[in-house]
Amino acid sequence: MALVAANLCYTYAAGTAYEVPALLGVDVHLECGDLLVIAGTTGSGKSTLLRLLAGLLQPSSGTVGLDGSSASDRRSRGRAAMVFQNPESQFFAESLLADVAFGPRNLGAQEPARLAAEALAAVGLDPDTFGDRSPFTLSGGEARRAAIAGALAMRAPYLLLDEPTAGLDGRGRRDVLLAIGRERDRAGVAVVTHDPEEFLPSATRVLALRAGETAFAGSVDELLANPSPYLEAGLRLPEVVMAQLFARDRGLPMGAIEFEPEAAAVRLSHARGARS
Amino acid sequence: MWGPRRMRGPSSSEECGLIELHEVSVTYPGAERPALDRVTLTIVPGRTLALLGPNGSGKSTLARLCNALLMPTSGRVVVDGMSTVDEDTLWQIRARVGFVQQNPENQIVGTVVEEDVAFGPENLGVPVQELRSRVDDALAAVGLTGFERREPHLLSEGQKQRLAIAGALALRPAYLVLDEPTAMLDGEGRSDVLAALRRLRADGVGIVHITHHLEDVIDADAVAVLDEGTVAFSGTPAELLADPQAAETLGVEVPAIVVLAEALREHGVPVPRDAFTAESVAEAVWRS
Repeated sequence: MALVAANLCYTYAAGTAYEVPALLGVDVHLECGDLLVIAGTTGSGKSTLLRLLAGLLQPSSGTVGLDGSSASDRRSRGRAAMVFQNPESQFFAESLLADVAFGPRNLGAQEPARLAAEALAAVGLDPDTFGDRSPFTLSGGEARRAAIAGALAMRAPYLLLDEPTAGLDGRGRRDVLLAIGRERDRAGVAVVTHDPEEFLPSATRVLALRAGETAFAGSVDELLANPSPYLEAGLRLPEVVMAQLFARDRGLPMGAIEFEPEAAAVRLSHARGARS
Repeated sequence: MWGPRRMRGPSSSEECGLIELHEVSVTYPGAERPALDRVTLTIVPGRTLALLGPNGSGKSTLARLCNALLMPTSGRVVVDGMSTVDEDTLWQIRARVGFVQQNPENQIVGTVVEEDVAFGPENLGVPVQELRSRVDDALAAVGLTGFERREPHLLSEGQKQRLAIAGALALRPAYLVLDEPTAMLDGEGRSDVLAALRRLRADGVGIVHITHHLEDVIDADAVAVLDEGTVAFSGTPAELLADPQAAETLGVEVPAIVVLAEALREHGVPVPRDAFTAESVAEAVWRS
């Protein structure tokens, strides 16, 4: 059971004078428990890739398989839930609870309202406070979390999130990261982001795109062992990680690279002691 | 290149070049508590004021006051000597205070990039010959040179955000208010925009930079932290970071590199207090 894409290519406005090749042969493998981070600078093709995985675009060539069916097949309906970059554009119902319940109701789920309330609570929006509010009165951060709740409520086995933490404050980001962590118990999660820092510590796999091609694909350990292709794709690593990589480049014996500042301080001060 | 726009206006306004918010409160209709509660702040040409605070703390409300998109319920907002409630000078204020919103999609109007950037100055009657240089300068400032004939809807989100900033710059404003201008930008786009904002500041533009990321505004001249509509902290970034715990209490996310530097000092590694980058921290460890 997996969401598998092989040699995916996509060209916008193909066959016209305005055609723009966006993806040039990318492979993806996502299964339950995974957190796949799809990283790339603006225009690298990462949002296009997510739309292809969701079955919203048909690949120009290559395949997307969803548990053995094509992603655009009717049988795949509701199996890959996607949250877009601009959640404001996704709301339509009068109350937030009704909006979030729409997905599961549409898929014929039992107790859509309960699923919706649970999903709202999972992203840190108390259903008693927010359930009756109009989705159009939410702040930017609340709207983003509400849109994610709409996808969570569908209980889809694959969750595809486009920049889920952009514009959120610290608390909002933590809520979303926690919700993603819980979701991995029953789903595979792919996150598209230009700023992968906060997702890297818990990622199972990283796919870095550059101008539609794979610049790096591998585990986080593999990434930290040889970060050049990733950094050359215009992507950033956390400053705490960069400090350790700079120290390693200088010849300090770093051992493992840490994401947490306190653990990094221990590594760095040990490395400094080991040298002298 | 970006000299503040010279406008005809009340003669006194040329001398007192400042945006002053004095005891400003805003209560939205039907709201129980004010979105802003007696806020006093000053925005100075050639300086960057960073506005931090959690979602819902009043940052965007404050931004909308600066160019008279929103009027205070009480208190005054005065731009270069002109009050924002004075209808006679409303358009002068709006020409002086550029505004870039959270979501760039809402502020793009042109069918191609250069038309979008030209829309503002063209509307204000800027001569055609000057339009060209304004558009070119604005696009260069945000790193979009070469995109002149591209269609905005085909741009990525980050490129759209930079286009929105270029649209505001084309008006050659004396002040620029930016509401989370880097939220949608990637590493490269973000450093391009931050570099552009630094150049604008050096050219004398007063900048209000709203953000969740203290890293983005670590070189700001002043920082104000809003909390539930009030100014909970006002000072320099270094003053804010002098007490990381107190900053966290205000809802400010202390950059991890600052936490690392602090932890290293506790381990006896002499890391200077102004080491805010990975290079400078690594350098300090290496040299010690």
